[in-house]
Amino acid sequence: MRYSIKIPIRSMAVIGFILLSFLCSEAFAHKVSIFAWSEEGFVVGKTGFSVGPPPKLAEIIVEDKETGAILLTTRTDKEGKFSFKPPANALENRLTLRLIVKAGPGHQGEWLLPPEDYISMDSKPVYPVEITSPSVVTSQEQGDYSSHIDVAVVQKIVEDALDEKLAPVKRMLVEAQDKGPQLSEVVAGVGYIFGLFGLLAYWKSRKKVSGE
Amino acid sequence: MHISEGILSAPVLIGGGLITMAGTALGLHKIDHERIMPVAILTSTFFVASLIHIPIGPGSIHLILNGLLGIILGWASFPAILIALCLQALFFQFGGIAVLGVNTLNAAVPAIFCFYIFRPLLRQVKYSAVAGFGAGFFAVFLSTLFVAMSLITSDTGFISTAKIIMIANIPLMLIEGIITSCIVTFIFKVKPEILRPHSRTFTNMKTKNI
Repeated sequence: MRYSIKIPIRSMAVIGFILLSFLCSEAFAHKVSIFAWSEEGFVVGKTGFSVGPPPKLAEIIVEDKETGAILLTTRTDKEGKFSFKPPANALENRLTLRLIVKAGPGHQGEWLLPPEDYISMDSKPVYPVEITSPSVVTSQEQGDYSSHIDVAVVQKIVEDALDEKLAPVKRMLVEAQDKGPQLSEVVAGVGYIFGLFGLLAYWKSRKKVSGE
Repeated sequence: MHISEGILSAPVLIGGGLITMAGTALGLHKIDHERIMPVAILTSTFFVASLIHIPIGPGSIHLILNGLLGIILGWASFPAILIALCLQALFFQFGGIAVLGVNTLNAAVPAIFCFYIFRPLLRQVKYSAVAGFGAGFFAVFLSTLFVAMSLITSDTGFISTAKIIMIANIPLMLIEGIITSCIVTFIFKVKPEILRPHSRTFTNMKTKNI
């Protein structure tokens, strides 16, 4: 009798492994990812499911993280990308933006964009004075820089330039972090399931023994 | 079919959580000691099935296989689906821990419906394919209705949400129907005992008594 139980378990294990083998071809997650960075005064971003085609024409809501007030809404293009000009209100008050993507009913993802990530030197309203002052200095008195250069301004310019250059690197890092389910995680999950049911079997067998 | 975090309102989350707790307790109580391994194997199958992407239709969909769990496991589908969804939320960030109750409910209740509707058909081999297809098809159909009902408080409203999810999942209903039908027919041919737990338990008892 014990042998007869083994056969269906074995056949079901085969079915399980066939399904597992599908993983090698294409995996998919219903997790919506969104990330954004600054490019030439615009906030640009990309949305996607962990693996698989990105959400097309999905709604993007930009809101203030603190108050939750909606600043603007836009949509992704067919490749899941989007871009928008940061609202004047956000630039003036250096707001942290919360970007929410709504990818169909029941699916959404969000990304926080701190002010230093989208306020660059291209966004002139933020520090117009700093940008104009070095150009005046260099054109008039080219010989002696040390007495006229404002250290803070130079620092700001270097930081902005670095931010802009590093934006694609940031994007690559985010993409690398968000690479979807890995085989090791899947195998670990299956291991957990058998471990948990092993515990249940142990618990039920103890109950049975104590009952007898 | 996993609803993300931050969409549902608190009453829906709490209600879903309570029903799932009750269903899981009942499911755990009903798991026979001899049937723990099939439950574990089907839990793993459900856990892995969500990673299989089907590139058909307007949306992005994945296998669910709750119909298969329902027709074989019955009430044990509740703990099976809860464990699988919990691990998916932890490992892959599908859905989330706060929405775990609602997501489990949306997959497990249709599975149990299918158990009561299609399991009686499995008494005869000629109906096994039909019963499998029906379970696979209607489990996804009912799940889409349940998801739409969970989102009833969201801004899009029930009818439009239900329509969108239903259209996106029509290919999935057919695919799940075919897969479940094949698996059930296969199990029926290889070892029908697994689909008739009561008769097997009875035989076991008789053997023990002798």
